[in-house]
Amino acid sequence: MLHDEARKAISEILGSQISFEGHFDMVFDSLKENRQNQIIEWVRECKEGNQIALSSDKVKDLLGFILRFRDTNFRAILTKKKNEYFIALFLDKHKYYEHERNKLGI
Amino acid sequence: MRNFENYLTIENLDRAKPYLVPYIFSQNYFNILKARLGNKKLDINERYYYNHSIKKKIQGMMELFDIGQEVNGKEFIRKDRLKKAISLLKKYSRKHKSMKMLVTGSFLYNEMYNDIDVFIISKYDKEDYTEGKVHVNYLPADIENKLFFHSISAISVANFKSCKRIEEEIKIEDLLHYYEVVVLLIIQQNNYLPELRNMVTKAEYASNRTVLNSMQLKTITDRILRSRNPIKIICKYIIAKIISSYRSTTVERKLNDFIEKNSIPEKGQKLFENWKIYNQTYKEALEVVA
Repeated sequence: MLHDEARKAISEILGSQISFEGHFDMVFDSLKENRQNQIIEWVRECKEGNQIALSSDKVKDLLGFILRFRDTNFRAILTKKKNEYFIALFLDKHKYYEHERNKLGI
Repeated sequence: MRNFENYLTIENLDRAKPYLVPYIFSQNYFNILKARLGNKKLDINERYYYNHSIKKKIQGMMELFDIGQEVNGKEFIRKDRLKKAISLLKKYSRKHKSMKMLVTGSFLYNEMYNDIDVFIISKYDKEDYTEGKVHVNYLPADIENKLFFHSISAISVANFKSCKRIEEEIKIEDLLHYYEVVVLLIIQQNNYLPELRNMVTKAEYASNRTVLNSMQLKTITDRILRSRNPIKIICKYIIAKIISSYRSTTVERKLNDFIEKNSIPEKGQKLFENWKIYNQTYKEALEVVA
């Protein structure tokens, strides 16, 4: 799957307001197909309330879902305004993810 | 030729001044070298003196005394690995000229190892890469002031000497963020070792200014990883560390903030399982503080 298709599928699940952050396109294209599917499935589970999240101490009512892959150092963070809408899907390498978590307060 | 500037610091230069001026360097040459180490711009004459005289003298001294590697934590390093690490350092020093680099990790002290970590300090944001078992990681230019660098370099073979002190403040919320993410990853049955390492390194430094070397860190994290109930151990560990690291007023204020943020579920949802664990831990810590 190419990143454009993935963006479309994820926007259909989470809504068109979702933004894609980090090196989303590059990282997504480099993942194996099963890992790409894992992201889409995880996004769906976050939407359906079947995943656990962290809450931010920096940004009020911000929730952060985290996906860590078993065989790569890529990480995903999906942010959501509590009781409202999903904000952004961040996908990048571990070192950028650390910075992003720090920025978000999770 | 080794990059001698990686071994020199302004502090060392000042300390050695009585032995250098006027025997090896004139006062003018000394000033030029100091300016160069301080990253100050040299004029055309100074550059000429620097390249044609000062540099040559120092390179000569380095060859004379066979100064090439800085070995930290030598007592922990296996002899066969030291040789290999020096050879790797030479190989990558040729490939990445004039760059500060170090070989570190379990390769140096463990019989079994998965990969060999080579860290290179770079002003530019470059992509890490792997060559066989060697994993080349780039670190930012300001890394020498960070706790992470001091931890990885405690057992290492480097092509430079670092004299920089840790200039990093570990806030209570930093530890709590790591604690929360580690518990979340355990519940999700993900690999949580990198986050656990960061949490333990920061917690030990915050509580008693101890910089764990990678061997000590591995001993602690291995015990947690192998335990039957890692969440329970991590909860007890973080309580002990935050109580011993921060003033009770700070602990109370921050823990109450964290309990509050983890108390109200989304509408129509139950409280997340991990939030219950966090709040239980924070309440236990508050009881101890009280």
